[in-house]
Amino acid sequence: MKSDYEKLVEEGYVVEAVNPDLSNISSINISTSPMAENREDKSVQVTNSSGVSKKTSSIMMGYNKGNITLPDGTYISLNELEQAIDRVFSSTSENVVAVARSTGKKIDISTIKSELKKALDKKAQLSLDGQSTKITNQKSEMISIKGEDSKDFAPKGVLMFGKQGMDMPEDRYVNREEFEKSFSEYNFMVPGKEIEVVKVESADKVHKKYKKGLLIAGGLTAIGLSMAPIVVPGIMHANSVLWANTSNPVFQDFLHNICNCNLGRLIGATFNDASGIWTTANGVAINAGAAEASLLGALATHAINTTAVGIAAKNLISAIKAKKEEKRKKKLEQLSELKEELINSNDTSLTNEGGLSK
Amino acid sequence: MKLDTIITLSNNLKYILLDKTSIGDKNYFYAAGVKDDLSTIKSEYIFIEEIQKDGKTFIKEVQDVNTKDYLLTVFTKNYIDYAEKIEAKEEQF
Repeated sequence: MKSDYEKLVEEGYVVEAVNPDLSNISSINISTSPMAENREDKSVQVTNSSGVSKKTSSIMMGYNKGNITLPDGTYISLNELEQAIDRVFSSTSENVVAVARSTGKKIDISTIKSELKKALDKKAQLSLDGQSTKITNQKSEMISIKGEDSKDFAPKGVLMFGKQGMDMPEDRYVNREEFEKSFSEYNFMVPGKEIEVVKVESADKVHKKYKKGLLIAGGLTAIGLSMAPIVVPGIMHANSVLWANTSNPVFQDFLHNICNCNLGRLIGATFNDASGIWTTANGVAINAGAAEASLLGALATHAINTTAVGIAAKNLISAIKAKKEEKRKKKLEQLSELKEELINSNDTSLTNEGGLSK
Repeated sequence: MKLDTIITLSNNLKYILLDKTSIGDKNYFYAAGVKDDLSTIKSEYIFIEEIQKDGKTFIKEVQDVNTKDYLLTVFTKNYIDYAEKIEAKEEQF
């Protein structure tokens, strides 16, 4: 049965980048900075929504006997984050549809904010709880912390902001990285945008300037690097074949150093200068066989689906296998023809000229 | 749309069509961005779907990850075939 995501794709929907603007959100950055051996104190830098930043007093974790898990990183104001989410949702198109990446199911956008809040409640948080009554000579904020998988906040002293002071919202602060991780669990989809083709003309000038093979190599390498697909050995093999079939050092440099070295790094492949062979991280030589295996592997992941892509992948697998069989048969025919020629040939050619009998 | 032509879109962007395949009854192309001089390639490579509507041609960039992944596999296969033809001297570099 097709998921909501698959149905939307078939209807022409595409994934749209929807990202709340977090650049002007008040934040607290903490990093481990022990004041003595085995302590886990955190140094603190605060930044408010106007962009004013200040290093302030540390959070005294001491020896962390309570085993509070408080990862280093940036914690952002929950209230301001919720406003940023509201802003981005209200600015997106009316046709936007949210889908959970893990299940492929549609989700009502109005519930996403509360789902995110639930997810973040399970993670570490900080809280600024207002001016300390004990400190009167400068601006300050009492701070409390909540470790991962804990519900309770524990007071952890005071952040001192100096005589000139600094305004920070009294609020909960959630881990920015955890928010981004949770938010990325959703795909936002909109109907695909169609653009009219207004002119079609010759590409002669491009072909005079660039070799077609290099254009294809460069493009597939760039896309391969951005998508990290299974077919990387296939692209690398074709690049190597082109490399071996040109004597132009500029083309060779492009194919090896720009294309294959970057693709090789992506999949952990290594190059042996002496043999001129690329080898995958699993020790498999990247040759025609490996290229075909990577293609079939990539196609197999699609062929399990009943979508148009799945059907096309199944057909292509059959075509590749049929071509392979055809090649095998042709080779056998050639061998058998050769054998026949040898049998029917005059053996004197071997003995008189070739010197095999000598 | 034909291979090895440059298309100009209504937003004035130009693309050269480098390879073509189909999924069901839809045509897809592997395209590279071209500068206004019609000779210089921009480092922008995309997969596009061709749409015929009311006698006009439209394109849509492929965004769906599964379709993109499949198209990359097909275009890689075509590239390997092309490289093998060069090796067999059936086609020029």
